[in-house]
Amino acid sequence: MSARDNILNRLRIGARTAFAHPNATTAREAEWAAKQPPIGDPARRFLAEIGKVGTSYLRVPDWTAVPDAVTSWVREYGISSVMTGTTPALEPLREHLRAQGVDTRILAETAETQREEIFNTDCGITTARGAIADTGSLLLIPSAQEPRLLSLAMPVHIALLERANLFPTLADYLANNEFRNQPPTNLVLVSGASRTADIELTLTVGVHGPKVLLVALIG
Amino acid sequence: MKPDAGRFKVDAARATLNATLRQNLNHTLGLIRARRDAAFEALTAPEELQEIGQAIKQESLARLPELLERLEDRLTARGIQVHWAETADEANAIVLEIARRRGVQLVVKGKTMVSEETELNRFLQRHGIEVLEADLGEYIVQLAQQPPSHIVAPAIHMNRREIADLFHEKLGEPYTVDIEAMTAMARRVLREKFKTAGMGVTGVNFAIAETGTLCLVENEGNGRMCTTAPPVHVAMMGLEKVVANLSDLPTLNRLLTRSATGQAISTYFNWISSPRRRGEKDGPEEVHVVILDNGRSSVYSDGELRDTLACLRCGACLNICPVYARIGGHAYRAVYMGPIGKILTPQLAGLETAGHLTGASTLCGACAEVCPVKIPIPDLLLRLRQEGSQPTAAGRALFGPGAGSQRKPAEAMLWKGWQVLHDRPAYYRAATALARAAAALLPRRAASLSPWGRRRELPVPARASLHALLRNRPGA
Repeated sequence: MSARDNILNRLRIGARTAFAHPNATTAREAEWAAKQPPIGDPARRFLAEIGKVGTSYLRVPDWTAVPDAVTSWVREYGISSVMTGTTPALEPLREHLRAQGVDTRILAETAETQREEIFNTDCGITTARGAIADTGSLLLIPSAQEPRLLSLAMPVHIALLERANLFPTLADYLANNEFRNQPPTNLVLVSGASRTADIELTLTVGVHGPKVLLVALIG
Repeated sequence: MKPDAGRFKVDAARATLNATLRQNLNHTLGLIRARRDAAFEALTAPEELQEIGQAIKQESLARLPELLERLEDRLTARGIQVHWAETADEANAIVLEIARRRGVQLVVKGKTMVSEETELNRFLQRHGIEVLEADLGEYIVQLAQQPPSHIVAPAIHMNRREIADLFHEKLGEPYTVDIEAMTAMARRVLREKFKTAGMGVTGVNFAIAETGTLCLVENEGNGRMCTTAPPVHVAMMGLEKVVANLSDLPTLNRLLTRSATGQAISTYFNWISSPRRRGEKDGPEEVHVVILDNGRSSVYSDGELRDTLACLRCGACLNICPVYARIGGHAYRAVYMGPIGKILTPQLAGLETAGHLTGASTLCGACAEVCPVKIPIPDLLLRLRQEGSQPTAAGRALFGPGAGSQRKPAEAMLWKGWQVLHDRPAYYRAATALARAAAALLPRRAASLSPWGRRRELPVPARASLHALLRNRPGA
């Protein structure tokens, strides 16, 4: 018998023990959530929450205003190189940055072949699938077009988020079944710059991930 | 590292006299408790959330075998390889086998308590593989060649000056007590390692059976690095980490981060559902999950003790425990310390080895109050004390490992005597009369009875008993 069968057989005997358990925990969770203070306008709540952990943002009316917003950050943070994925929607931004003299790179091959470049770029720029308002969390679903390291390996991460993609709570995002129907390789909720409190519980920003997180809220 | 009753007494006594340790723990535990309380007070009906969390975990535990099979099925369907390990040794062997097949020379690790349980680092190092902890706290204790002293904050027992000395000595960096500068040193060192490591090893906070998703909760980004940069990712989980539904995540995560650090959510909440797919440019080519039993299925077989397996590993019970605050994490000589450790360790390691830990409690009940999933820790402590001190002759087989091993003949005899005296009024009256008469001769300290008695004075018997006072009251 394999370890698997031994373990499962032992558990199956144990599982017979009568156990009183209420079943409808999801309904109870919804009931509980309804009692919480209202979230209000998701965009306002989201921006308030990210502000609490020191994430800066710019609000822009539409995609055409994104390049100027990013350029202003490039100046403010002294960014000399940026990297994006191959997302076609970001082409105008890349052109704009190149015209401004910013070293604009694309992660087009693989992490292995572009490793040194990836770990020696100042800023990664990605889109966000959406965001969760009540916790101030970006909802990132990296893809072939926008690999995972773009939001992780560089000291600055700029996320481009459309206001229409804000969900009041995580439960609201899960309720739309997108994840359930087709779980992506990786989904990550990002709620600020990388941080630690492992020395004397003192908050320190920028351990292994980005030291600065910037959000452009579009629309 | 193995629990040891004799050493526990010595270590605990020594720790309570260590002023630096007490100061470090007081400082950090005070802060962390305040943050946890504030995070819960910001909610409406926080106890209700705890009850829902408890219901979710109990539901998942009740369906454990079924959910594990479903988890395996979903993970396998998307190319994640599932391994089962009955013991710590088996788990280590599985990881080593993967590492050898892939020619791995360097392993980077996210925080995982299960790998502490299997002592994976030492095992891999013995087989010539370099292992580096990437969580800052774990990295610090690894440099110091110590085990973690807390399940969430591994270096909680050290202050910045001690860490500064360590970094200066081990990394050859210029001495600084600036926390930001020390964090930057660790970032520099570990960056290079992430780039070259052949394998990332992490734990799992929640494994979702419904979708076959591994969820990791962290703040530093080391977990994301370990699961993204190296070509192989191995996730190690205790078999109790599986939960049924995706919709359970909001509640469980709310409870976990609030209880652990007082955060509404951690910086990164990382969900992994497959290895790198065709066309994707990063992420591991292979993802493995090692599901570890190591005594858990025997805990599971007892309907009452099973509650132990609901634990989210948030550490809130450590932070509030008056015993942990005074002796710190190392005195327990156990991977899981504090209140949860006192019920989990004796069950995993057996009462012969770790039964004494069930006595290291004042039964104040604070741990049960803060537990996000309402594990009745004091009740389980009492149950395990009972298991440990039951007469072996009775031969109860319900609780196997080490039942009766904590029984002390002298203590049992004292209680027997107590029972006889209280059963028979004549004996009782004679004994109390004797005690009153001999009051002056009795020792003032109960030194010989227990360490507890050494610090306390015996009460002086009243000159007249209550019976006598009532009998002789005016008008009687």
